[in-house]
Amino acid sequence: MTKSTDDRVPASGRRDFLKSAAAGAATGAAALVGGTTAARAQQAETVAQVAEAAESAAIAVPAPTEAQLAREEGDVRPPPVTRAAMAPGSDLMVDVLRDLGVEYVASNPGSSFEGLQESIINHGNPPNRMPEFITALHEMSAVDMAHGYAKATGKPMVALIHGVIGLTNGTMGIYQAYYDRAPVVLLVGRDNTFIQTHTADDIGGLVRSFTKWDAHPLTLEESFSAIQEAYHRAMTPPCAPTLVVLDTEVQKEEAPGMTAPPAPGFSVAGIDADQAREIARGLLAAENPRINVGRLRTPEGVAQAVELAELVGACTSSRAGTGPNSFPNRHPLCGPGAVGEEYDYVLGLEAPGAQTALLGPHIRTIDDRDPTNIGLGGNRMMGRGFVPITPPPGENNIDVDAEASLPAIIEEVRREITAGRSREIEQRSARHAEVNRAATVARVAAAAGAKRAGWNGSPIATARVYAELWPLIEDEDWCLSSGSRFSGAHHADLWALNKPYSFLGSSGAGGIGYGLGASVGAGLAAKERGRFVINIQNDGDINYCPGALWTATHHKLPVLSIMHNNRAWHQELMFVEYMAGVRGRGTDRGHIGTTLRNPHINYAKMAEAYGMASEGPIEDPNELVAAYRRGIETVKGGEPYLIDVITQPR
Amino acid sequence: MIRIPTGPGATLALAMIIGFAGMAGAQMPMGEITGDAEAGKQLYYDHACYACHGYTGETGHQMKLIGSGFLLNEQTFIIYLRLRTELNPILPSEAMPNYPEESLSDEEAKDLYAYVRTFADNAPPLQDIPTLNAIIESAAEPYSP
Repeated sequence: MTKSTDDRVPASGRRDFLKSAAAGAATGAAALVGGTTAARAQQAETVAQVAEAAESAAIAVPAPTEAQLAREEGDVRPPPVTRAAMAPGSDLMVDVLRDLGVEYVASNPGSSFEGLQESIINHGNPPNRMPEFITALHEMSAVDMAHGYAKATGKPMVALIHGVIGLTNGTMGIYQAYYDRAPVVLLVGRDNTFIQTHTADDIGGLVRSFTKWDAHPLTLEESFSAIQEAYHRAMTPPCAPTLVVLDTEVQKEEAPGMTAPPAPGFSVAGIDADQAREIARGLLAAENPRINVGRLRTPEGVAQAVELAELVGACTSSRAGTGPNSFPNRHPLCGPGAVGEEYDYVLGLEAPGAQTALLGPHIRTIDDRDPTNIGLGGNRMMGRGFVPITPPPGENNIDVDAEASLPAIIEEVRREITAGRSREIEQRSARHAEVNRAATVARVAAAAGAKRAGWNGSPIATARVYAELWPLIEDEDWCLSSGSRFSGAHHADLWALNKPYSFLGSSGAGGIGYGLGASVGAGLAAKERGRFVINIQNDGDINYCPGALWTATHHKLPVLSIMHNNRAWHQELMFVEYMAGVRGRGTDRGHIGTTLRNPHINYAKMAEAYGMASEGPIEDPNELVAAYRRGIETVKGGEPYLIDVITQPR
Repeated sequence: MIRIPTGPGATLALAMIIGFAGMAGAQMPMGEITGDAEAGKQLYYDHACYACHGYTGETGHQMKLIGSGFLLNEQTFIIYLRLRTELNPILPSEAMPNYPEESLSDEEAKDLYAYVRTFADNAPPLQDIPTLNAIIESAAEPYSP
């Protein structure tokens, strides 16, 4: 029986704990033999710590055995129970993932999923493809990679995590993916026979408040269906991380004659035919229709939104400057349009609309998954996420996924449209294109004028960091992976954002540490798709999980990281400075705890230490373009590159 | 020390003075500089003015010397520094910290003012920046999905 979160009672007693009770820390330590004196001392300390932890918990938790400790300490001899596997169940788990189209599994190794890991790297022809094992150096990086990948592709990859301790490390990444509505599948290994402090009866409970669904299947068959369901639930709006706990025994179970079940069909409900017909008629009857486009789920949804706008000749709005999967911001129909602001029919696609707004379910609808009653702030405050809580007057909101509704609307438009109306729409679209183009040029020119400020200054103005990139990338296939709020968001003013993945948006919950991992995930998406990634990397952010630099290097990912190195957690510097002013003291001490000085961090050398080509720090703005050229040439050749740039604060 | 009057009447009067200076700033001549700009540069850094205004006053919340009543002379500058936030609610705002006498003396404020007065609009004319012109030209190009 699969134990999903629909039944909250954790499984207990299903697996026997180790029979061998601890003989005591001292006994355990004394029994250890071999190795250096230092190693023996370290082992003894480990035993003492585990025993102390068990004692303090006042429960009968057995201490690890000598063999377990030896294995944990790096004795790689196979455990004595190892036997040749003829048809391990974890091979079939890999088949399930492959059938779902999972390209990558990001993970740093843990002793609760060696069965599945071994299958990923050895099962299949060729092995280690679909999915490929991506080596992360921290669980948060692994989840951030899956987060960035999901936004770049519109579909999940997997983060494979070790028990309680790995999941705890990954928690921040999961929290951010949840609020960013990113479909991420988390597979968590659970070894109930090994070190007890690494496991729990209900591991999923650790993150239940900010995952969408979790399950703990107890058999191999249930594991297959749980993985499939986790994938589909993650992709079903509201998109969010899902989690499956996989017991180590289930992974290692023999499955002779068994085959992986094919993935069941998957669809998202859209509006019904009557509603679609009403919207289609509204759009076709209007003399000046408009379509407001928010963030759709996948690139396919964006293509359909473009198709609909072109069919009915509607001018559109776009959120491409704030995140992925919105309307291309230089499309001829994107802008105010020719007829003026008086729109006589406005359709909203995950955005407000005067007549009709199609608004898919928000994560608020699943906030009953807060068993710890911590009262998640985002769910309390966000309302409908990026949509105003109070709809505009006269709005006819339909709680349905916009992307899933588009095919029906398009079908109705095609059915209802007449040849005469098509000609009128064609003429209107041409007028829209002309006016929108002029409006875009005027807007960009105004922005460019403002970006002149500090153009030749040093440290380098953030506007120049973005501006100098554009002429070098405008004819390339690229993806801006990092959040840009802290570095000025100049891309939104200066760049064309015409692809669903042109800009992947921010972290979701405003947490720091997301940028590098998410960029590596975007790099995974870019690698096989002939594009490269631009990561305007905040210095405060990179220091959370810099090991992702190594992942990018090791896996040869086309990620160009350009440091926004203002040598501070700059926002907090301003906050502390303000507070010192309020309290009337020490405004010359706000740098304490907020700045990254004395010594300055050399990010080019940091990248070099992880094996990545790099240069900098660059303080002269006139050196930017040449450095960018070297960086772009490198990433187009399939290797990552980092440029350290000393910048103005914002 | 610049004496900050207290009481509702004084509050209103100060607000009017600063407001008037702001409105008239574009026409009024800038005041005398008595402070040390080099010392002010260090204070600008130590008190994290750069955090919001950039290292040269050009980026972030740019400092506009022309037209700013607060930067008209040393007195308006010091009054502006002192009358911020909850402690001195004439100009309550979370946009800029308060700098009381205990944090920044009048003499230091004058040094700071002297440094701020060195700021200049160094932005090149738009036509002299090929990159930005290329970006504008790019915006006029046909849509390419």
